[in-house]
Amino acid sequence: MGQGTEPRRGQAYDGELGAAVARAQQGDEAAFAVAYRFVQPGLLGYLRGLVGDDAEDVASDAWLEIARDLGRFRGDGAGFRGWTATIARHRALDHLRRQRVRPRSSALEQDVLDLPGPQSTHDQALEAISTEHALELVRGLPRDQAEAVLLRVVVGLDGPAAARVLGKRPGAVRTAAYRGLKRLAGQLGAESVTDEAPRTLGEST
Amino acid sequence: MGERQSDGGLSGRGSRHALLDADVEALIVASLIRDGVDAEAEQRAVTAFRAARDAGALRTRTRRRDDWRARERRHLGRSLKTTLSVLLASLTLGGVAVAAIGAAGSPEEGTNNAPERKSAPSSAPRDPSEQPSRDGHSPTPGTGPSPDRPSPAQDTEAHCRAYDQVGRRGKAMEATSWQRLVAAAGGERYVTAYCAEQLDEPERGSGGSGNGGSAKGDGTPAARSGTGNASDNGSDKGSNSGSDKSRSESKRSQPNGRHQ
Repeated sequence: MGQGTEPRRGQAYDGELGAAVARAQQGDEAAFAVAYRFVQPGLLGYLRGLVGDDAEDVASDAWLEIARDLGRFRGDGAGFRGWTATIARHRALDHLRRQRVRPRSSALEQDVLDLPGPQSTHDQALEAISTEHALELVRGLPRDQAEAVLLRVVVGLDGPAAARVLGKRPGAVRTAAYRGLKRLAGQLGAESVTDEAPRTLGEST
Repeated sequence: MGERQSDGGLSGRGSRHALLDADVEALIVASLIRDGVDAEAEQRAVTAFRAARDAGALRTRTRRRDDWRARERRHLGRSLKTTLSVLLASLTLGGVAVAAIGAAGSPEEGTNNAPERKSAPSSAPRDPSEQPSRDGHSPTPGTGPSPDRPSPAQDTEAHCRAYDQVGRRGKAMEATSWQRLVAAAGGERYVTAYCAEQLDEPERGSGGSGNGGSAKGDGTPAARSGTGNASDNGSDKGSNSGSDKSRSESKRSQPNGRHQ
C-alpha cells in the first residue's frame, strides 16, 4: 500500500519528458517549460538532501547550465533525468566546497527542519514521523549512501544511471542504496515505536 | 508487536521495527519532494533557455558526458566488436607463429637435401603441387626439375652423405632412403663405391678430401672405387634407373622426410 503512492519518481512520465526535451532542442520554449516541470521536483528533492536549504539556489544555477547545454544532450526522458542530475550534483558539490571554505551558520540545521510540510501523507503508520525528521535522517547518512538513496528514490534513476551520475560502479551504488535504506528503516522504525507506543496502546484500550 | 498489530488497527499494519523499503522510500519522497514548481524559478530557467537558444547554443557539439542514449546497447556493441577483433588478432598471431615454426624448420632440412630448398616458401609443405606454379617459369609440373625440388642425382648424393655419416654405426638411415640407395648402387655391396663416385663427381674441383676420408672408413676404398670406375656403363645405367625410381619415390616420401 505504501509503495502504491509514489513508487519511483519520474519514470511514469519519461515518454512525455523525452518528447518535450526533443521539442525543446528544436527551440520550443514551451516544451522546455514542460520538461522543467517534470524534472524540477525530483531534482530539487535530491538537492535538498545534499545541500538542505540552499537547494533552490543550487537548482537555479543548475538550470542555467541545463538551458545553456541542452543542445548537447542526447537521450530519452530517463537519460534527461540522469543528465540533469549530474549537472545539479556538480553545482551542489561546488556549493558544498564553497561552504567548507567559509563555514555555514549554525542556523542552517534549524532552517532545514523548518521546511514546509509534505503535501500529502500516504500511510497512517508513518504519519507520526515528521518528514522534516526523515530529511534530517537522510542527511545524516554517509554521503555515498545518502546520494545513492536520493538518486534512486527521489530522482527515480535506475541503477546504472545512478552509478553514472555518481561516477561509480553500479554494484557499489546498489550496495550503498541498500545500506542507506536499511539504516533509515531501522532508525525510523525504532523511533516510530518509541514515539507511538503509548498512544497506540492507549487507543487500543 | 503481534498484539499491537491486532489491536492497533490502521496504525499497526506492517513491521514497525524495520520498516519496509517501500515505506522508507515513500517517506523520503514525501519529505523531499513538493509537487508543483516555483513559477519564478521556472521563468528564470525558461529565460535562460531562450537566451541560449537565440545565441545558437542548441547547435553545440555533444560531449561524451552529454550522451545518455541507451548505454547498455552501445556498450554491448563495442564489447562484441572488441571480442571479435581480439579473436581475429589471436588467430592471426597463431597463424604467424605456426608459419614461423615451419619456416624455422625447413632450412635445416634443406641443407641435407639441397641448398635450393632454403628458398622454398614456408607454406610449401601444405601444398606441394603449388610449388611449380610459384616460380613462374615452369607452369606445368613434370616438365623439368623445378628449382624447389632437388634433382634425383642430388637426392642420391644426399643419401650418400647420410650414409657416410651414419651408415657405419648401423642402419640408422631411414629405411626408404637406404633401400633407394642400394637400388641405385645395384646392390648393397656396391653402395660405398657408388657413393664415392657420386660424391666425387660434383666436388671434383674442390679436391674431395672429405670423400677420401669417408671412403677410408670402409677399409677397401681403392678396390671398390676401382670397380665402380671400371664399370662406367653399368653404374650409369644403374644411376639412371635408380634416379628414375628415386624421383618417383622422392615425391611420395617427401612429406615423411619433412616430419623427421
